[in-house]
Amino acid sequence: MQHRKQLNIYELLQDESFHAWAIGAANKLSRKWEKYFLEFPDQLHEAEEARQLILSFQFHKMELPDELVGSERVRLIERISQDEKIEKSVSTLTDAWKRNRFFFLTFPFILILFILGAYYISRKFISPPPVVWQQVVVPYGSRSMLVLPDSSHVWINAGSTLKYPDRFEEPKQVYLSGEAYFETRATSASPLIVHTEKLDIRSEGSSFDLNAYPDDSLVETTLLSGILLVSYTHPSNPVIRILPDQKAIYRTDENSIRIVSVKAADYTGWSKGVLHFTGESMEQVIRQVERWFAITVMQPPPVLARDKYYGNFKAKAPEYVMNKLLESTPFRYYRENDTLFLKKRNVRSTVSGK
Amino acid sequence: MQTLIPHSDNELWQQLKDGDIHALGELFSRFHSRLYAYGMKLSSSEVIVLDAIQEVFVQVWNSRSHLCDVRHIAAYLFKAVKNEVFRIETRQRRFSAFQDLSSHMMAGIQFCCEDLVIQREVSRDMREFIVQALNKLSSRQKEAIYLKFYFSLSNSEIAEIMSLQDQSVRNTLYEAIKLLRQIITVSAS
Repeated sequence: MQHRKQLNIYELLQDESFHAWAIGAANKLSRKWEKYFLEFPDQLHEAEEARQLILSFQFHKMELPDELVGSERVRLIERISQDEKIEKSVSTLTDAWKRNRFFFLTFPFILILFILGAYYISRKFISPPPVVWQQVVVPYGSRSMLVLPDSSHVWINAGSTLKYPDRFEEPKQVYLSGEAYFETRATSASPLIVHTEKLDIRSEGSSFDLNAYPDDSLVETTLLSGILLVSYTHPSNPVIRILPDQKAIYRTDENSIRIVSVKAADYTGWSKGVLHFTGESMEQVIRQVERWFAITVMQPPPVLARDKYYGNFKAKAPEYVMNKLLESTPFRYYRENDTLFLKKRNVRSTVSGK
Repeated sequence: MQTLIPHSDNELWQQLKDGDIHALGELFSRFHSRLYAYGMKLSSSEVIVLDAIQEVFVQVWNSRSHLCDVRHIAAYLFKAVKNEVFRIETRQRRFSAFQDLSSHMMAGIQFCCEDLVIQREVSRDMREFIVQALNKLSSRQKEAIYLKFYFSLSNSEIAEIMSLQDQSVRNTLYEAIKLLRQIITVSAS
């Protein structure tokens, strides 16, 4: 620094080189300051005061022993290397993240895809447990009600058997021998097919009665509501649709179907505990009575085949029904255990009675 | 010492930035005494001062990759130590709310007779006057005087440490010296 201009005491005091010279720290500066004072001799007084001040303000140098500085230095280096060890273990994690970011980000999606795939494969290739068929046998003298796996309701009449699966597969199918009243939850896309020995019934959501006792010569189905289709084994394999309040009567001996209009509600009385006759022959009536009361009726030769019988019975005993039925006929009966014997009345006594 | 070690402070700083931990150790040894002395003027706790110096150097090392070229290494370190000492003091004060640590915290730099070197030219009485005069200065003046006369730092270095403009340091020192002269001349006469 060249001092071309005059410095006052404050400037001198703030000058590091003057400082160093004043405390005698730097010998090489003495020439410079001697030159300066030669140039500005009137500054000598101020310079002396400045020097005095500097000397007055000389502070004790606070020094730590060298060993302490050394140990502090060791402490610093150790701390840094420890920090870096931790940093390294952290950075290996972050490095793994950086390198495999794609993997980490897509992993959840890959996992979901894998699970979906596994589910699909299991659905497709691992077959479900086999369908187990159940069979409900309702004995003579009683009736039963049942809910199918698709929550369709079935009332099963006396002396009937219904076979159904524990789990429905399309198309839904059951097998009936005897009489049952169905209220199905079927649709045209998922119909319920009821197989009988002679006929197949396809319900697309309907309430209907199906009477298919193997010992009857007739198979009858009566529709209350909904859609019902009937098919039977025939060269032309017809499918007949019947409407509500119609009855399809299939004659097994003729292999033919006749549709008649009926009051359909009459045909489901049995499901509510009412024995109901709607113009059946004595032969049919007797079979119904046999089933209803679980008795056997020993029949005479079919002399009454042409008569038709109508009526509702809520009776608990077969005698009452038989009495009513036989009222207008020349027959009477007597009972031995569970068997009723029909006998022609003594003509003479009848005559004499008249 | 300076002649034995071939590297200047700035060279060491550059080596440190390149990841040389020995350069850090060397700078630590060079500056430790000065930083310690300065720290001890700011805090009465030696533990705090030593920890603060450690912390400053650890931070310098950890941020070495984005350290800028420092104009005055000494000033940079002084300022860092000052901040660190205050940070630790504040934190400790928070954790011991009932202890009155403010006494040595807020007063700033205080001088006592033992701080001054006994000079043949300066009498014992004079030394008393000088210390009294020094303690009458504002804390900013005291700090500037202290940095100037103890560490022989340049005005721009002092400006950096005290976060002031160079001109403000010049003015502060001017005011302080003027005041000291007045007090001393009045006392001496």
